[in-house]
Amino acid sequence: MKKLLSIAAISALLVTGMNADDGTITETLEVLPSAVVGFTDTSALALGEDDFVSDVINFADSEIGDTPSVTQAIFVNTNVADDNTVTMTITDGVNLGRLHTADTDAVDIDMEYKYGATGSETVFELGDAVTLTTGANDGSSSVGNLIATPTIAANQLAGIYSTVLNVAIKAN
Amino acid sequence: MKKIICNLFLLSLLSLNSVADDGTITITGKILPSAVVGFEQVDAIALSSNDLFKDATIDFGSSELEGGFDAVEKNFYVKSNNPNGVTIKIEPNAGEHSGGGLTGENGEVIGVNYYFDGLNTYTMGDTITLTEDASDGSTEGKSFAFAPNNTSGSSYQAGIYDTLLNVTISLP
Repeated sequence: MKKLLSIAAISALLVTGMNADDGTITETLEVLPSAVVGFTDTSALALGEDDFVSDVINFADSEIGDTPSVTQAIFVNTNVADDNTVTMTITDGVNLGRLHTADTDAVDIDMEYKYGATGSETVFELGDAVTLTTGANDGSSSVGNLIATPTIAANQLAGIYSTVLNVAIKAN
Repeated sequence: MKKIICNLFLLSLLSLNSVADDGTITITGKILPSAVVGFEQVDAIALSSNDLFKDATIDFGSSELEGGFDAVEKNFYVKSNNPNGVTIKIEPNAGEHSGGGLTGENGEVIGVNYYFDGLNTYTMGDTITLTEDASDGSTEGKSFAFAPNNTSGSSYQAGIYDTLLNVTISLP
């Protein structure tokens, strides 16, 4: 009986060996999403880590009574998949988005920030993640506008005001 | 060993996410200085691009020769957003008496002495400092006196004597 079982077992192994399919080699890799965003054409910039190309918004010289506003086009170069997005989060832990001057008698200048497609920009708060694009984009044309608008008080002290915003880009 | 490798792999993924630098947007603007000055409260007047002296008329009234004319003293009110203060310069309009005297129809001149901030003699064309800081225009500042020369015992022709002075406001 034991001998029969052994023979049966060996047969099973042989049958298994004979029936084995051709072997396979499976190769996989994952291309991670990334994005580079800026105020000018970013199509020539290499994708890698998510990045915002640092830039400057300058209101130049404003007089009391002026209502200056600067509109900056946003360009996004990204490889995210069709259903995924690129978001931008702006923060300012120092001045909370307001423009500040060194003169201690001066009051900071309040700012309003908007983002959206041309003509439909809406206000967003610093710290909010703003969706710039959905799906891949080559960065050669603008996808929307960032609008920065200061509110100059009627007695705003003369001087140079500024702040630095941190911009975090995330390709999901 | 496998567990250590797995943990290292996870750490490397986390590092990739946190390495991405935030870009920055630097926002700058310059608020230009302006001022409005007058002999009455000017706090309700909006600052604008044109530095302004609010027109004023000094009327010494009427007097017979033996009576002479009383001096008129005014106080400056200054509204300005300039942290460096405000200066003023007063000088005769073209064709008027160079010393700020009042001219009659026959060309006779009644001299006028001018005093700034008390008994400090002011000579036409001098630049004097009204404030050294920003000001809201609601409180009276330094004084300016107009003192016609004593006409008692003279033989000035009866009539109207006048002059026109130009006032220049400057922001250091």
